[in-house]
Amino acid sequence: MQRKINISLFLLALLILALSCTKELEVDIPNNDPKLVVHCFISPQQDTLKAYVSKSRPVGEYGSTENLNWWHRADIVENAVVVISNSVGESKTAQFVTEDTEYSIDKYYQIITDGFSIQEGETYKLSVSAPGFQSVWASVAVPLAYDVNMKFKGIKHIDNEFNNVFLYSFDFTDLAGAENFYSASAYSVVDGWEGNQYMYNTAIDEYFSDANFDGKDIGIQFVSYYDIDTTHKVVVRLYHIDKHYFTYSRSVDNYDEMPFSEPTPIYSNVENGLGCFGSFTYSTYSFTIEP
Amino acid sequence: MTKWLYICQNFEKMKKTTSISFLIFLITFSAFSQKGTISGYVYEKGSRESLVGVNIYDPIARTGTSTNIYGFYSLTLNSTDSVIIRWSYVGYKTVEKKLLLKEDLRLDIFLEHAGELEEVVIMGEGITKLSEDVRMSVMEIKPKDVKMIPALLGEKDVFKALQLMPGVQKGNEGSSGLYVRGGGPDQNLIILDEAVVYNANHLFGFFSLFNGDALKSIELTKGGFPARHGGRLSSVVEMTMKDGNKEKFGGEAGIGFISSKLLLEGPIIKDKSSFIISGRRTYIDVLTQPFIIAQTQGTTAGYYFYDLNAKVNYDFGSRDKVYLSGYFGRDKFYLNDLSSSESTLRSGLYWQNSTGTLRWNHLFNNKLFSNASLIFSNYTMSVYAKNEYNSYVYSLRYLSNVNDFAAKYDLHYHLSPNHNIRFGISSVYHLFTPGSIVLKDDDPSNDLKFTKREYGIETSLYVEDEMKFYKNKLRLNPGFRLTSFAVKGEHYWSPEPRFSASYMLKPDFAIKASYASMSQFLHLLSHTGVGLPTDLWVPSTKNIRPQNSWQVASGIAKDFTQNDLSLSLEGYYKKSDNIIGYKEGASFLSIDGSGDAMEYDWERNITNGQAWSYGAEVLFRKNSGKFSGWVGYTLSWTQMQFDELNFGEKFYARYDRRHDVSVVSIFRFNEDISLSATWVYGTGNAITLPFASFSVGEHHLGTNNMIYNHTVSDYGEKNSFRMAPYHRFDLGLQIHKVREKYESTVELGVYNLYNRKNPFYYYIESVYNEDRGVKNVLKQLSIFPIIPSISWNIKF
Repeated sequence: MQRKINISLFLLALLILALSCTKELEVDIPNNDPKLVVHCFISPQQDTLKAYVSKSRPVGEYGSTENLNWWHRADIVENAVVVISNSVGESKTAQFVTEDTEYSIDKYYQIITDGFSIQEGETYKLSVSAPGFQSVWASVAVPLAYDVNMKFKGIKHIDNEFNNVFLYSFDFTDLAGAENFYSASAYSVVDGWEGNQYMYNTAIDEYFSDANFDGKDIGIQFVSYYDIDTTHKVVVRLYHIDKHYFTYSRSVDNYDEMPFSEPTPIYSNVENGLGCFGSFTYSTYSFTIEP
Repeated sequence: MTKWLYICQNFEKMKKTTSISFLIFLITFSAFSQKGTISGYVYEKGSRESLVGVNIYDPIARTGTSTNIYGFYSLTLNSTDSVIIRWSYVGYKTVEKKLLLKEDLRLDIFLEHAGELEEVVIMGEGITKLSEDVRMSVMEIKPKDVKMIPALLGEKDVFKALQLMPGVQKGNEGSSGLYVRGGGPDQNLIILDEAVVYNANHLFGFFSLFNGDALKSIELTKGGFPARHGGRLSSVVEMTMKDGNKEKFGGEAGIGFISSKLLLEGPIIKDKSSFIISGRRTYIDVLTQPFIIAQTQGTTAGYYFYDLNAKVNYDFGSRDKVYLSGYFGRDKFYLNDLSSSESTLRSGLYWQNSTGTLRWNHLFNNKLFSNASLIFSNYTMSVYAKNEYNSYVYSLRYLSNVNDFAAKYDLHYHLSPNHNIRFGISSVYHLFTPGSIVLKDDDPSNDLKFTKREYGIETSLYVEDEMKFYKNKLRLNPGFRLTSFAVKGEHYWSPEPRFSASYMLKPDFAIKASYASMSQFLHLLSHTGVGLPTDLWVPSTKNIRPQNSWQVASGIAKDFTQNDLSLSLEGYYKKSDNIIGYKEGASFLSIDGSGDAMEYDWERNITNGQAWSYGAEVLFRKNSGKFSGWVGYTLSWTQMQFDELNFGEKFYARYDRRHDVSVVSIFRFNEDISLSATWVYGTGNAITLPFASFSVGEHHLGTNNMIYNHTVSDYGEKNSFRMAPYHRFDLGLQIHKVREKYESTVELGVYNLYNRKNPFYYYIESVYNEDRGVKNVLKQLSIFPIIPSISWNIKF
């Protein structure tokens, strides 16, 4: 049996029971037009940049029921003009592409960085316009991929009634005096066979900040389900993400729609629109680990 | 443990030092007091009920005082010759006496009821004037006015009447929550005979706990708080229960649409001791039960609430009085399905308040009045469900409560005509159970038993002095309150200076100003702000700091004595810090048995922020006569900021209200018929609504691909949608019949006369069309259309 009781629904039912003489009215929301939704995440370590452009569907407006169909995203805007520019006035216009693979169709605006490079520390602006929509724009500063002095701290075997896992611990030093945001991933390499043994980030959130740890060591841990009894390599990738990326991703992770709870808005730095223009860089650290 | 011992030892030391200081203080002042003092109690003639706020006035010296909440007064005069003293009170005949003040006089006065239609004008002097009161931001409502104001389904409600005052928001549809000067319903100190009442709502806030029958006085303070009150940021609602008729047995009974009530009072020992007991119960469940059972073949469901007030008192001579009073009220929803022999369900939700107060009034001398109180208060909310299916049993019990055990000692020293000093100490032991869960099913390994308890000791010391200077033109009330709050691992101190001043520019015209610093060590975790019983009371902890605020207010007060009219105009600015709110997405209402116990740790679900509130209030009021009532207007702004809400940006509070208007009028045609009407208007609440939906995805850092995996709502800025304005007109017609043995009143009422569809709740509904797809529509739910009511009351 489902051991879940939702008191809020129970309360709601009782409340509705109590309010038998209710009247309903349909209400218009003034100035509620569709907005452009832009998702674009840039990095100096990417050859091509992708900008995804779609539209929101206001309350009161009909739309396809298939917005999220894997094969047919009805909300994609295909006739937008997407331009990225840097602080010295150089710009590049993106091309709309449809990437049809065996498993999915991906539609986005592609910017080939050839001749227009994304650089650490530089600020970029993304502008998107499309017929029938208010133009939107957003800016982001690319974070620096500075050396964080990543250190391997050890492996701990956890064997209890719930888990039998190996916990790999690392720590790194945060850059003092700045607000920094991170994400991390790791994988192990055994006998030259890479990538398959992805390790799960644990103990901290997928995206984390240096709040309360400014300039200090920050610990991260990864879980492996494999007991590797030979010398092996663990590759840790530390992503430096910008504040918009961090806030947006956190808000997507926390999104929940529950009656009687505070609404969880999705963060956006896109002026006049929705979505996120974020940025990231990364550094890779490789450790040889003896069993 | 050692820290606790240290605190307790310090407290003991403090008590000793304080007692010695009080003694020295009293002896010193008594030695210097060589003037004549008149003191005593003022009672209602015929019932010997003590009267609160009676004005005692010397028209020659142009000085006076008023009775305290126990009906005691003390007036010291410089003159030792003959004096004229008037005792006057709205609705009562003034008593005037010429006295030879050779020595201190003890004078108990009995005031006789005046006819309802009599204009109470006493040669322009005597009645408590707004312009002569050093206090500002204080609103008084007489229980008899509460009875005259038309109400939903005829259910008279003290809080609904208070909502009609400027500075107090008219709430949402049907809500009896008080939102005072931008504060939430949790920031009101609601005290009934000294006991704090935690959840003052019946039926999800549609009615308040207090119908006014058993009450003697109701006073709301919105700012300029005197030092004797503390512990909440926004307001003090002080209610005093009647003592009970000491001369003869009597009672009142009433039958209304949804409830009936009965009040009995009378002497236990004539002129020495009396009792009063008053109860009310709704009976919708009883009336509808047969129909529900018939319809559902065995399911019973229903809702009821009841409340009970009781008080006894005893006079031990002229110096000592003892009072024992209590309140108990409960709301309960239940749903039982016993129709099948295989499967049964019993479920419900109840919440209840109980308070008890034992007080001892002692007169040390004709100038020094004291009151010692022992107080208990409890609020409990519980949800239960038990499902039996053959041999399988599933049961859940969720409980949250707060218990207060308090001791309080207050002294009121009428030092001289120019100094009226109050000081005292109080200590409260708060015991909280923010959440207790017991879950059981057929597999014992799934059982869950979790209880979280918190406790705190709140101790306060205060002193205040009401002073008069320059022929009573300048009145000051400086005060200071020091509060300590000890919780596990932390000890907070809060010094709170208070100050209010008034200056009479002309007779009947005063300018006023006040400053008050307040702190609050208890917090209400509320999702909706509408006073649901599931809101939780929790204390400040090591991690959750006390809320505090400061408020400045200034204004003018003008009396038009000939017509018993008064006008007040006030502006205020209030800044609050460390106020608490729910983190986005946090909910205390979902209990998932599979989760670990930490899920119920409330501290993780809240966030701290700050609030700003400012505005202006106008009140034009007529207290007595054929035509009485008031017009109130409030212009206000309330904004909040939390680091973890709305991405750290400022936003308007849900109950931010730009304009708020109330018009209350009572017209007495003659002794038999009166007509009352109210009209209210308020800007709509600021709420968060989903304006649109859009696809959102997670960006995969490794591949730089977007994975669109769900549709989310675009809420815009927090609280950026305004609900439709609220307005409503209510009308009541009272027909009184006075017979030799009884008085009866039939009241015909109409709530929402012009059938305004006021918004109660907004929600989104999906509409599907085969050709055009799907659309979301915004719907507004209105709950109270035009509602007539009839009720009958009898007084014997």
